[in-house]
Amino acid sequence: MTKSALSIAFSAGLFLVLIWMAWEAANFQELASYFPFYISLIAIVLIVVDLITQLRKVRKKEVDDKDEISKKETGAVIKYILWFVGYLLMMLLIGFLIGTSVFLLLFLLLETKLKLIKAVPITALTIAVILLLGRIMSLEWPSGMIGI
Amino acid sequence: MAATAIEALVTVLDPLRIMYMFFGISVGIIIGFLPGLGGPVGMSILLPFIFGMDPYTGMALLIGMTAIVHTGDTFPSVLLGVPGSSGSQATIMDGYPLAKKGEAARALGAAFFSSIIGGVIGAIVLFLAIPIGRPLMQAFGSPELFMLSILGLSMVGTLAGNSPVRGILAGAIGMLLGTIGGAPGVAEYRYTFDWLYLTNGLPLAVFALGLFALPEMIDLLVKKQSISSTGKLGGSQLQGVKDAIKNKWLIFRSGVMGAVIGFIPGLGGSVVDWISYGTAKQTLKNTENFGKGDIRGVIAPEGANNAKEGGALIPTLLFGIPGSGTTAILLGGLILLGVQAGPNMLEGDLPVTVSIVWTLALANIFGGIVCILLAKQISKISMIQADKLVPFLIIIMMMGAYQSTRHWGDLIFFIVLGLFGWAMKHLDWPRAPLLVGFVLALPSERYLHLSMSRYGFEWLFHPSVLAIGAVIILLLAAGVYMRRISNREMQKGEKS
Repeated sequence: MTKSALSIAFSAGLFLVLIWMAWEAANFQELASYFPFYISLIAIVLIVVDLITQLRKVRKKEVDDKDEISKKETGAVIKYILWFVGYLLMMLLIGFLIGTSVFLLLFLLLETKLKLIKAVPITALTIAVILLLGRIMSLEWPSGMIGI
Repeated sequence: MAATAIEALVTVLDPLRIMYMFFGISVGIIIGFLPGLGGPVGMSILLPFIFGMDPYTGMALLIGMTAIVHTGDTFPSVLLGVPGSSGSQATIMDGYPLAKKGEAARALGAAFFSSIIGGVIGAIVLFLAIPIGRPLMQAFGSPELFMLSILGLSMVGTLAGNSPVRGILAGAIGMLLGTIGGAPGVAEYRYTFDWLYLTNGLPLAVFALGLFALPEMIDLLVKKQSISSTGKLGGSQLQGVKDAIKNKWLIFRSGVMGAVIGFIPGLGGSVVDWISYGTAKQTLKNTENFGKGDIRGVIAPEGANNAKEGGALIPTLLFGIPGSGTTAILLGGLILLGVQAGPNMLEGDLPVTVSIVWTLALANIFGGIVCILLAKQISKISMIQADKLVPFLIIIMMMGAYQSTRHWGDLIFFIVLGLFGWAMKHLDWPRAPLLVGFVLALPSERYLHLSMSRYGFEWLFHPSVLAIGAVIILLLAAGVYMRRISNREMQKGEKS
């Protein structure tokens, strides 16, 4: 997939969202409506200009020769996004402290390629620091479904 | 004014505030030496932790970080030839060749000393702007304040990225996102989907962290690079400091230039950097070695980029116009601390403003000294690969994001906005205008509403409103011209 195709898709997606926002704004009470409504209209005009500019560039083949996106890089990006989403899901299920311990230990072992003998004490020290910071700064963190 | 200055200095020198300033300095150095992160990431990481602080302590932390990012970003520029942030691109031109010749320590010594002096100059310029700004702000009403918001947004939108259309569009989208939640002056919840979490709008800390910090984490992991491959520093830092003292007028001139350019919203660190480098190259004698390891090619940009922060704080604090992602988050931070930027910063909150000046000066001095003393140790840390640091940063970010409202929505939106920010970054959309629009949305709407209620459409013809309109056009023209000069110098630098 090329970067220009993705860019056009992104702009098209924004266009639809802006249309929806303008529609919603028109249904707010008058005083609450005019600011988001007129900003949406300005944004819609600008996104149409942006889309037309991009389509013209593609048509005239003025795109960069580095336009093709590397599959390897895309794979790496998706992998790390999944790591972060997985971390969030772990927190949801088992809470922040246990979720963070599991995330950090797995990341250090699988991605950073640290040995278990180093990864475990680093994880333990990190959790200790988090607990200490939480105490000093009165921080709170989410408990998961199991209530920890 | 003098009495306020002394009182503010005493407040800033409180041991607890000095401790927080040093904490901010430490974060600034780390953020500076991780390539590509920059001020907005550091600000967004610290923002959630200022909840509950008094304004002086909160500012000690945030300004301590902001002041020193452009000192810490010299490490990757000199050691690796990769800019630590946008404000250290020109430093590579002569800093990296010096490192390759075995004189990295000399380059760093000169850079840190220039940064200290430049930062202090920026603080002085900010202090001098206060008595000038005071009578102006006293004369401003809601129509003028609305126009100032438009000034800030139009400048950042037009100048922040490569496409003015996308910049202004990003600003408009940011403003729309800023309208989520309760409308001012009327009982209506906008774009909340009947979800209680959104009734107070999207939290700024989550917005900033997601938009700026998470995309950088993803990219650091994908690139898997370290800052430096050797960690060794050749040459002498003391020699670098002596070189900087020998070129004191160059530092002074670059500092003043940096502060003045920094005043213009939207121009950013890279413009300041390249203009000061280009000006030095064109005006100094014997510049045939510029680009090959001339120490003056390090001194000029480093003196300017630290001074820029002082200049950038003038419109932010005095007029409530943030000129960049960093100052937009700072503005939000002030709101969290119960301080409203604008006219009040020169009246009731004048002690806070003056304490910011002192913090800026002191943070530059202390931070520069720390960098000089610990350069060797910091260089060794720079050998650590990014994938070893990023998981810890992600944990801090998740903790920080959750402190905003302590609701699951904070974490969900952190990830969602992070993915949106990553897409924006890689599809060449500027993110700073989005953040500026978000921060300015509700104040702009309030000022517009007040103006229309009081004056109808007549406010559009007030002389001060027309004058600000003229200033917008003038500053836009000046900004475009300076951007062209900066791009020309950058292209010359790339060719050589």
